[in-house]
Amino acid sequence: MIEVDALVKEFRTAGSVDGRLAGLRRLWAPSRLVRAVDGVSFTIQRGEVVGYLGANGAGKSTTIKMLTGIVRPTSGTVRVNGVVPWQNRRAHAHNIGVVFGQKSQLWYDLPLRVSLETIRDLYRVEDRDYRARLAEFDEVLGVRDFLDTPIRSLSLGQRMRGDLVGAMLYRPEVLYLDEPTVGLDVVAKQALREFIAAQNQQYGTTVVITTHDMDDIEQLCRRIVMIDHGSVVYDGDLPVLKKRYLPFRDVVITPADDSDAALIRADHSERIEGEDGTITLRFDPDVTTAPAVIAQAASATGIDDLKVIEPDLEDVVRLIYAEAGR
Amino acid sequence: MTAGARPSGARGVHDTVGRAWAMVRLGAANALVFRANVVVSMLSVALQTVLLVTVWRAVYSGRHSVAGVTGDRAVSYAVLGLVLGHLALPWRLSSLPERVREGTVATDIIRPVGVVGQSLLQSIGAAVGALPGVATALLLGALLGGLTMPATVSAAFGFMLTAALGWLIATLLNLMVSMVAFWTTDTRGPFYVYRAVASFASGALVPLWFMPDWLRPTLEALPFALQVFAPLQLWFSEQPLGGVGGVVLAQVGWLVVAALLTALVSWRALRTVVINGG
Repeated sequence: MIEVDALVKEFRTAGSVDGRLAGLRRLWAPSRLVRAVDGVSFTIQRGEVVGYLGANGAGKSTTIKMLTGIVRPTSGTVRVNGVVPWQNRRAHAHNIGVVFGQKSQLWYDLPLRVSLETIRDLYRVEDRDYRARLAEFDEVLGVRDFLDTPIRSLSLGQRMRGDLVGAMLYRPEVLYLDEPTVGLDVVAKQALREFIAAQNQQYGTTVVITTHDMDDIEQLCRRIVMIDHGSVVYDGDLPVLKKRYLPFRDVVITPADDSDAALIRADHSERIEGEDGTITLRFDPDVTTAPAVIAQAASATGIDDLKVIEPDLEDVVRLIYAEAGR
Repeated sequence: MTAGARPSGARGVHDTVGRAWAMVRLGAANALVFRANVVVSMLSVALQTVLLVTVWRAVYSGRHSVAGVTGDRAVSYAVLGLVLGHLALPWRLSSLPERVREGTVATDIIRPVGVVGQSLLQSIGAAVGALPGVATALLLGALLGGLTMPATVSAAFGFMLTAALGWLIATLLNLMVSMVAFWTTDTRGPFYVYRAVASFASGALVPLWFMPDWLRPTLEALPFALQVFAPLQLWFSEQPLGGVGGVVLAQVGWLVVAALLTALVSWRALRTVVINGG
């Protein structure tokens, strides 16, 4: 569905000038070559939901802009459904829907209804299909209440819902989401995630999502591609990634009596004493299980409270960025 | 329809027309969305009409003609020149610079209609927003006795045809100049220069009849004169470039040149485009 091979994008930016008369000297300062994307390759199958992750400035959005055909790469190739996006933008347009969290595809001063009707006519959606899809999308996203409100007057959550409807109105085979939940409240985020998951399950829509919200990834993606300094540093299953970077689970126990803390221990687990009086038993789930660890700890003394902590994707990402020298 | 497949024949034409009409409608809707803008535009045109009629009458007080041009003709020219200039050089040349600056041009690039086509069709629709101003100028001009009608039906027809083609040239040039936004973030400087040159060279400010002999041929060789001066010459039964046929031929020639230049500029722009923001 999406084939990316050795993709490179270089930009020229204004050179950095400091000191006296910097504003004037900047006029003839030599420009600087920046390699935003550096040899990215991956293949995405039809119906996959892929999280495309990376820190700010890692090259995520630039990659998306090349996949969508907005920007031409310096070198390398992209084929989406057999089409090279920047060479045949019009044919490609029907293949893809795009939602940018930071810029809207809707027309700012006009009511949402006018934007959606314009998209309907641009993509030649039959009026009957338009009405049916609008009704279907409304069930999850609840857009009817603000159809007649100008885009500029919508809240961010409403605007994003409107953008998502606009992007899916013509049933594209691929949906690109560039930080779609940035700045949204939990209710709006959940509505967006449910909508995306439903489109993927019902229509086999291929989804590529860039985000800094790890809940988006955990709830939507099985596979992630991680990029850093323009290069892919991980491409694979989310559980495998977690396993690779954070192979342990933690059972955190608050003993009923502080003096019994020393008794809390379990086989095949590392014991870590917390400054707050808690005891953490860290274990490898391939070697033992949480119930076994808890049962053994509880048999030695009374327990006030306990919790099992699964590896957090944010911790994983933090570790990877740290490894990459950020 | 399979995604990406291109319908052929009558269906293809129907789809193309449907898309184009959607963009024209969008341009019109955007132009009329703020009623205050429409009212201010009408007031501004009304004020200019009154001032132009008053000033040109004052210029001609005690004189029958200047440089072979009668007072009635000069006043009438001023009102009609204002109308054509109002249509050819709208307040906002195109929405493109704004969209490039905000980065929202990214969403235009991935539409099934090219960026140039979208902008051009929206500009055509946006002309609807100028019509209340046009009506105001014509009505007020007529009430103040500042409008003389064409002498013949063919002069009126020639004017209508060449004014429409002239407006199309202006719209294409406006779009081409707007594309400077792909290279420079602040477009105010280039726009200021373009507006000054276009409004002067078109004859919208001062009829080219009054230009010095050394300057007039140069101005008439530019495409701007074909937007205002040449159509108005036809209105007054003059025969520039041998008549309507000659003017239309010149306009079509400039339309081709402007279309090619616009295509070239947009091709370069879309190869080098950098989208602002994440």
